[in-house]
Amino acid sequence: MSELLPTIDDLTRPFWDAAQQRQLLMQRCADCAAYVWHPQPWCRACYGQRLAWQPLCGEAELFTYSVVHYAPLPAYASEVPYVLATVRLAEGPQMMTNLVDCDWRQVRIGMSLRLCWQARAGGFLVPQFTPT
Amino acid sequence: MSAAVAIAAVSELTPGRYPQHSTHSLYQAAVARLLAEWPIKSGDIQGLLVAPAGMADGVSDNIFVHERLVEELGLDATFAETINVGGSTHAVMAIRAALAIRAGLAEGVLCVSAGRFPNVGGGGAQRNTRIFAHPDFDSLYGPYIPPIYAQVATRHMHEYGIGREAMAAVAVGQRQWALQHPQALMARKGPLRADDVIESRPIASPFHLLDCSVPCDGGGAYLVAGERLARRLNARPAWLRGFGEIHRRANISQLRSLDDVGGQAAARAAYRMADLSPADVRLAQLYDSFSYNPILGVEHMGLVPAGQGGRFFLDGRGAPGGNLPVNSNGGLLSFGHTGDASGLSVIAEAALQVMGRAGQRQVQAPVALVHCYGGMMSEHAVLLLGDAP
Repeated sequence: MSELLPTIDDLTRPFWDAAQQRQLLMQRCADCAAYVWHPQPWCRACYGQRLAWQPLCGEAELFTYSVVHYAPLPAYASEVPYVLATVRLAEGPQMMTNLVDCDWRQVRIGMSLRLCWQARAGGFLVPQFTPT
Repeated sequence: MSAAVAIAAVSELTPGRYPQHSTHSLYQAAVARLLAEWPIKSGDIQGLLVAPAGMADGVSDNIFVHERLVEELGLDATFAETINVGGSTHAVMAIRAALAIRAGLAEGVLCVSAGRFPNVGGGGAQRNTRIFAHPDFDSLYGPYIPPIYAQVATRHMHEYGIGREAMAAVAVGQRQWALQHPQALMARKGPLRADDVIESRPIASPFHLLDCSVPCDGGGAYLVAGERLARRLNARPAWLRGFGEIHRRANISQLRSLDDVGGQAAARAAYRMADLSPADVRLAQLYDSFSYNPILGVEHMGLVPAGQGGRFFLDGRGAPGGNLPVNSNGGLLSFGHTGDASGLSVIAEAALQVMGRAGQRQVQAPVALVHCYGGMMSEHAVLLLGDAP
């Protein structure tokens, strides 16, 4: 399993703190209700700066993917084949993820996915998705 | 479009490996070749644009390279910068040069590129994954360039029912072109069969090894000139009839629809400026880091309807003998991908074809289209070159 960990700063700390409690948060604009991903200080839709962290339901569908058979990245070299995917969350935003606990031959665009948590180095939890 | 501007002169280094050259001496070799092949005189150049080699590695020692070349060329430049827009840098340079010439800042703008694309397995992917995918989030999941691009291909294949045979047809056709180009890197490998591509080892679905462009070193230079200088240097310059560019997103995870990748909007702007339509295009140079990209390219440039790109290549329309040549130098797949200089070869071929200097592979190209993108299809630049202003 990959041991890659994020760098965390003041902006992203609420996301990762919640992740350790198995909760997926995303910024949402208090003025226009748009979700903002990746984290940043202002809303992309209205430039408002009153963003609040909101919990997401964890449901998603597969927008697209690639099954990686050759990985020059040391942290992923022993993971092949792995699925690199872009998922569309029920709330609308898209995230990059892996598809875990699934047979890569069974992966299909549009399939329903749910959030799960993967423990990396030191038990640090990162969000992942798996077929429902 | 206002005052006529042209690519008046263009020269390229042969793609390969240049261990005997420092990166800076690759720039010098590119300039030296241009000066040797064209009657450019001291005083013809007032502007300089240079692409920084090394960006794909995450660090570049060349962010001030324009200063060194200004000094080495003895310029008193009124317009100069090192400019990075990824693979679209070289097309964007032509646009910036044309704008500068039209604004009266310069009559001749020299555009120079040198690049060394490290082999993917040599640590390059590890160094650049945090550039090409969001460093704090997306890069946690093992992205590198092939599986990032592959996601666009997977989605397009899904929406339009396109198979790997169409990708193989792109690679096969471009190898046929490369066999007619004495400098193309892969010409010495001989012809390619569709099965060679399909059966090559898998990298990141749908890409197998021979769906991927070939890393190498290289570079080149071209001079963008106002009408008087262009006509003095070249009886048949490649006139810049129109251009368009668009910059959207950084991360491929934020691409929400194949209808707004960006190339479409850039192409529309270029056609509008040139008062041309896709039916006028006789040659398309489509940046092809992977075999799938020309399939998207012919669609996004309006050369075929959405979803027909695969059929276009399966029917051989872009290959030698086809009715709309695509990547007649072999493209990045078979000419070679020189990293930071890659887009230079895409433009150079279009210019050489319009100038009538493409040798054995010459096609009738009164109008040629160039499409380059940078980043992970983040930004797009389209040029329309023609044999008349």
